[in-house]
This record gives sequence, structure tokens and C-alpha cells, in this order.
Amino acid sequence: MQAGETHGFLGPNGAGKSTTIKILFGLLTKTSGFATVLGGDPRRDAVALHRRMAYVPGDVMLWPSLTGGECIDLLTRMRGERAPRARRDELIERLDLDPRKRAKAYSKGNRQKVALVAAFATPSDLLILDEPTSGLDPLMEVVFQQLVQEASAQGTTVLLSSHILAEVEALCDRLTIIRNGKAVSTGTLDEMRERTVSKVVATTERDVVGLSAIKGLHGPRLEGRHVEFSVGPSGLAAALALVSAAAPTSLVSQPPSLEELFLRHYELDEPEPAVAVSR
Amino acid sequence: MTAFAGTGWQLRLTTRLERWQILLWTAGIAALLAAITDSMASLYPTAADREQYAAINDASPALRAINGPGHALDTPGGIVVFEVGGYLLVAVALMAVLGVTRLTRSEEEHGRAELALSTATGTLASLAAAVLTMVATSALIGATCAAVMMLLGLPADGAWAYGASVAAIGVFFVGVTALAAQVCGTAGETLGLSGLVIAASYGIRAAGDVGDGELSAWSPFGWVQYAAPFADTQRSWPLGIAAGAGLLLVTGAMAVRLRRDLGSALLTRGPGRPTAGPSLVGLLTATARVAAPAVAGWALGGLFVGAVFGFAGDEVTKVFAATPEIGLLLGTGQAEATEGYLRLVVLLIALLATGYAVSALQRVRTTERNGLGDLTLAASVSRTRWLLSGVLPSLLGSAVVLAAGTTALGGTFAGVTDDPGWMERVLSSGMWHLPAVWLVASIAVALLGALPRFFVAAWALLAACVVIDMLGPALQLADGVSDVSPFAHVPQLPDVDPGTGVWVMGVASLVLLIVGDLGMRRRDLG
Repeated sequence: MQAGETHGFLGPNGAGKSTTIKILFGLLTKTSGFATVLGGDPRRDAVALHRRMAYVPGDVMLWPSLTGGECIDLLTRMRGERAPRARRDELIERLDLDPRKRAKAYSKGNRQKVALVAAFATPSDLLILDEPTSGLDPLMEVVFQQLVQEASAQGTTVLLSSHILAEVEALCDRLTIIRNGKAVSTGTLDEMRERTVSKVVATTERDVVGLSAIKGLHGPRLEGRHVEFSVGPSGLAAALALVSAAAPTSLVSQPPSLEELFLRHYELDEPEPAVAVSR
Repeated sequence: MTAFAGTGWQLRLTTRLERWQILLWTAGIAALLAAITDSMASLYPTAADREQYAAINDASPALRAINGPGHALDTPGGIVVFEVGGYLLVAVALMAVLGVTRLTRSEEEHGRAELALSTATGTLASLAAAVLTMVATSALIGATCAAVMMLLGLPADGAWAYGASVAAIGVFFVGVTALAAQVCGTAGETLGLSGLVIAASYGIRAAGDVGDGELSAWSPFGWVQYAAPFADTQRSWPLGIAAGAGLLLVTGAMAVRLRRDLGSALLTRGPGRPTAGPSLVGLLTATARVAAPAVAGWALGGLFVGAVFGFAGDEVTKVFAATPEIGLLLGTGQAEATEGYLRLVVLLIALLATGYAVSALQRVRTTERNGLGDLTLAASVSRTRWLLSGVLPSLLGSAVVLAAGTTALGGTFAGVTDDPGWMERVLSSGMWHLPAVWLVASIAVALLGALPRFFVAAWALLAACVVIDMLGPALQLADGVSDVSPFAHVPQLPDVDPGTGVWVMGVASLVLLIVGDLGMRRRDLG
């Protein structure tokens, strides 16, 4: 990750997103590889680093007998800070949280709001969010996105693990996709798109010929004057030349959506399906 | 030492979380000690009374097994320590085990430790805060005990020595639990392991004290009771050993914690089966699977207590046989004194079984609070069936614990005394305690169904039974008060035939179970 960026962190369930995040907080020890956070060792320098970091776990658990407000103050103080009252109250207001309720009465979304208020109440250098909006309603999701953008504007680096692709697309400068504990792809959304196929749909006046000769072109489908195919970056120019030679009346070239990218990486090189047990 | 960073904040959190528990334990123990001290002063006002008390109890291995070694039984302080001191030591040990488990493994198991550790909090801060809180609570209870004794006119020197014993045993079990929390992966297992250490320590001390006392040197209860408050031989070094051992265990726990990840444990379980086996067909079989290890653990405790006191029974009868004048002193025959001993142990085992019965129902209440109940009832499971998932383990499991304990007691006692008849007599007397156990369980069921917010009253009832039945005579309770305990209405050895009390309790239990079911079917969940 680069300083100051908002980095998306994607991967299927069980890929190791939360494990990675816990290693970054020194909660788990890594079995291999190396991890550096803000120039320090996540385990050895945990206390000093955590003063500059904030965390919203995916499954927020609070002390049942404390009120939401108490939990917020305790968490910020334990980070070594004291949140300005106005900022804290503003966040509570924006996230529509009742800070006087005891934590045992909160729903999942409300517990998440408590962790969000505690994380955003004081400025931090690195904000790590593990599926922070999984319990929030769409309205709160918008507020959350604003909060991340505001923090980012103040120079906070953000690592956002999420399954909500629209959220990642809206907020993240770059993203990493992991599978089975390994990063399979890292880059900006554009860079990742460049490395993948575009889908082309065209209607032409003449027949398009010679498509099958182009390297990296998949599934050409011709129905009369209607043609559809997908093609990698290396073959795109040649393929479009053939299409334009056939006098197109309409031409749509779509970059893959994040969802397609995501699914492609998840399914790529999938080993034998786990359920196909031979008997 | 960045590992301890943030201990201050953690400490504020733990005292906040524990404040009511600390207050209730301290007040409860102080009240009991005050009541006994007052009662003893009125029972044995003169030196002559105390001489006679000492003569009886010095010679009774049965009472030594249950209460601990008697020291200075001819002094008011010595009598108080003998009558209630041992029980209070167990109570403080229990307090330490429950408190440390709540603040360590339980916090970790429920994901709250993760949030705390993501702040500027060192790895050892929450363990350190838990230990400090519970050590301070032990010291507070110890100081309160000393203050109560002094206020009621006992010598300050002995009062402080007893207070220090209370604190020392607390510190020891803080250490035991701190380490158990690193070894076990769940709060339940941590409680179980630490609870077994309490039971074993008590059993070893009991076995030691009926004999020459050498075996007691292997029990932390033996150490602190060797301090002999109020006696001329009063010594404080054994307290140092208990507290020192506790702190050593804490150091060990910290060393393990530094080397392990959050959420992991020394003892881990391998992966389980990916599909439900053919035996797991519904809620009740699932319940049986969950309840079985708990029943096994409690039954093991019952077996252990029964066997230890059964073996110790040998010494008891030998002493009675060798010195028949004890019987005269007690105003009873030799046979009756033996039966009195067995009666007390059967009661102890029955109270243990009641402890399991209430804890099995607590599990239903817990699933109701954590959402598993919603999930269960959203499937096609009726309210009655769900209630049964607590009632059946409670009733059947307590019968198993009671049977295991009394069989062990009867069997070992019959063995050491070469009189096989004891086996049947002890077992049948034990099993006639079941209606009383089930009555307490049924009251808990009625609370669970009709007044779930007051379920904690079931635990209070159990505590009241322990105080009334074990300490009733010492407290000089009026008959009206001691009759409150259902255990006052079961046949006591040598009597093995059920009286009407047993049938009344059976009917009352049935009514209470129906009340619980009706309440459960009508009320909101939560």
C-alpha cells in the first residue's frame, strides 16, 4: 500500500482478508512472509503503531453493560487520544446513533456505528476497515463513504476490506484481490481492466470476417449482422479494425465491470470443485 | 514494557464491569462471617463451653474433613474459623475463578479483546488488569473479614491472619484461572478446569485432615489453613507460599500469553465433521451432545468428592471405635456419628448436583440472550421443545451427578469399613435427595419460563440452600428458616424411607414445570 491512498481489499470468504488485517494489528503472528505497518513491526511496535491506527472489525463486539457512548470514549482513550467533544457528537449525529443505550441492546449495525464513531473521532494515519458496512443501511452507507473521503482528504491512508463492489469502486484508488491467502492481483481499477478482456458488441452492414485468427479473442458470436466477442488488450486494435472494415452501424465496447473482474479472479484456476466427491 | 501499555485504562474498564460483583461477593461473605461470629459468641459464651466444644471437635475427623483442621478451638476466634472459615475460603476461590474467567477468556471468546487490542493496548494489559482487579478484590474481602471479626470483638492479630488467609487463597486461584485461560479455548472449559482444581484441592485437604494432615501439604487450602489464625502457633509463612504460588502461576500465564495469538489456546481442537452424523436428528439430540461433556465434568466432581470422603470415612469410624467416649460427648452412639458424617457428604453431593441442574437451565437463558434461541425457534421447533432442551439435561444430568457421587461414597465407604450394606443405604438415601434437587431445578424452570429477567434468583436460591444446609446449625437458624431449604424435607440417614415431604416436592415440581411451560409459550423472547 502507498501512503495516503485508499486501498480496496477483496477476496472470497475465507481467502484471508480478516487474518491479514489481524496480522497488521499484531493480533496474530504471521507464519511466513513479512509485514510492515507505518514503518514498524506490527507485533513488536504494536502499542506505538496503534496510537496512529484505527480499526473497525467486521464483527464488532462491545461490553454489554456499557453504553454506546461509554464504549466510544473508552476506545478512543485507549488509543491514547481524547476525541474533541464536538467531533464525537457530530459523528454520532451523522450516523444517527443513540449513545445512551447499553451495548447489549444494539443491533449489529448499531455496534458497527459505535466502532465507526470511535475510529473516525480522532485523526489517524492509517484506518483499517474490515467489512465496515455489512450491517449498515444504504443511507448510513452514504454517510460512511463521506467519512472515508473526508479522512482521505486529510491524508489518512485507508485499507478497506469489503464485499460491496460499488463501495470499493467509489472509494478506492487501488485495490488488491486475494485468494487462498495470496494476492492474485494489485493495481488501480484501470490497470486491472487493462489486463483483462473487454466485451465488444457491434452491428455491421457487412459480415465481419477473420475474427477467429486474432489472438486472445474469445467466443465470437455472429447472428446475421450482429456480432459479440470479448478480447484481451493485445488483440483489441486488430479486432476493432476488422469490425470497422465491415462498416459498423453501432459499436459498444465495455470494459469489464469490477464484478466481472472479481468473479474472474475468484473462479480462475479453480481447482476441482470441493463438493465433487467420488464415490 | 510496552506489553503492559494501557493497563490503566483496562483497569478502569474491569473495575467498571465488575463493580457489582465485587460489592455482592464482599457483602455476602462479610454478612455470613458476621452472622456466624455473632452466633458462636452466644452459643459458647464461657471458657467452659469452649473447652467442651474443643474436646468434641478435636476428636472428630469427620468435621475436620469438611471444615478443615481446627486450631485453637477453645478460643472464640478459633471456633469461628473452624465453623465457617473453610467454606469462605472455597467461596473466595470460586469468586476468583469466575471473575478471572469473565475478564480474560470470556472477553477473548466474545471478540471484545480484539477491539481493545487494536488500540494502544499491550498484549498483557488485559490479563494484568484482570489479575490486579481480582487480587485487589481478594484483598478487599480479606480486609473486610478482618474488620468484621475485630468489630465483633475477636483479637486483631487473629482477625488479620484470617483475613490474610482469605486474600492468599484468592490470589492463588487468580493464578490458577489466569493460566487455565491460556490453556483452554473457551470460557466454559476455563471454568471447568479451574473448578476441578478447587474440587481436587478441597478433596486432598479433606483426605489429609482426617489423617495426620501430611496430605494437606499438597493442597492450597491446606497451606492457608496451616496459618492457624487465633492459635498460639499462628504463622504467616504458609500464606506467603499460597500467594507466591499464585503469582508464579500468573507469571506463567503471561509467558504463555506473550507466545500465543489472540483467540488461540494451548489446547486446541481439530476440525470437526463436515456433516451432521445420523445421531444428530433434532434439537434434543443436539442438546444431549452439548450437555454430555458438562454432565461428565460435574459427575467427575461428584465421583471425586464421594470417593475422597468415602475413603476418609475409614479414619472416621476407626477413631469412633477407638475412643467410644466421643459418642458420649456428642450425645450419640458411634453409629449415629458415622451416619451424621455420611449425611453431610450426601448433602454436599446433592448440592453439587443442584449446581449442575441450575447451570443446564442457565444455558437456555444464555442461548436466548445470544441469538441462538431465535435461530432455533425460527426452525420448526416449539417453545415447549426448546424449554425441554434445558429441562431434560437439567433433570437427568443432576440425577447422574447425584448417582455418581453417592455411588462413589457408598462404594468406597462400604469397601473401607468392610460392610457392603452401606452401599445400598448411602445410594438410596442419596437418590431420595433427588426430589429436592429437582424442586430447585423446577423453580429455575418456572423462572426461565415466566420471569426470565429474574433467572438469577435460581442461583440465589442455590446459594441460600448451601448456607442453610451447611451452616444452618452454626447460624442457629429458626426451624421456619431452615425449613425453607428443600433438603430439610428428604429422608436423612439412617432413615432411608421417603416421607410425605418427598411426594409433596414431586407434585410441586410438576406444577412449577407446567408454570414454566405456560410462561414460555406466552412470553416474548429476549
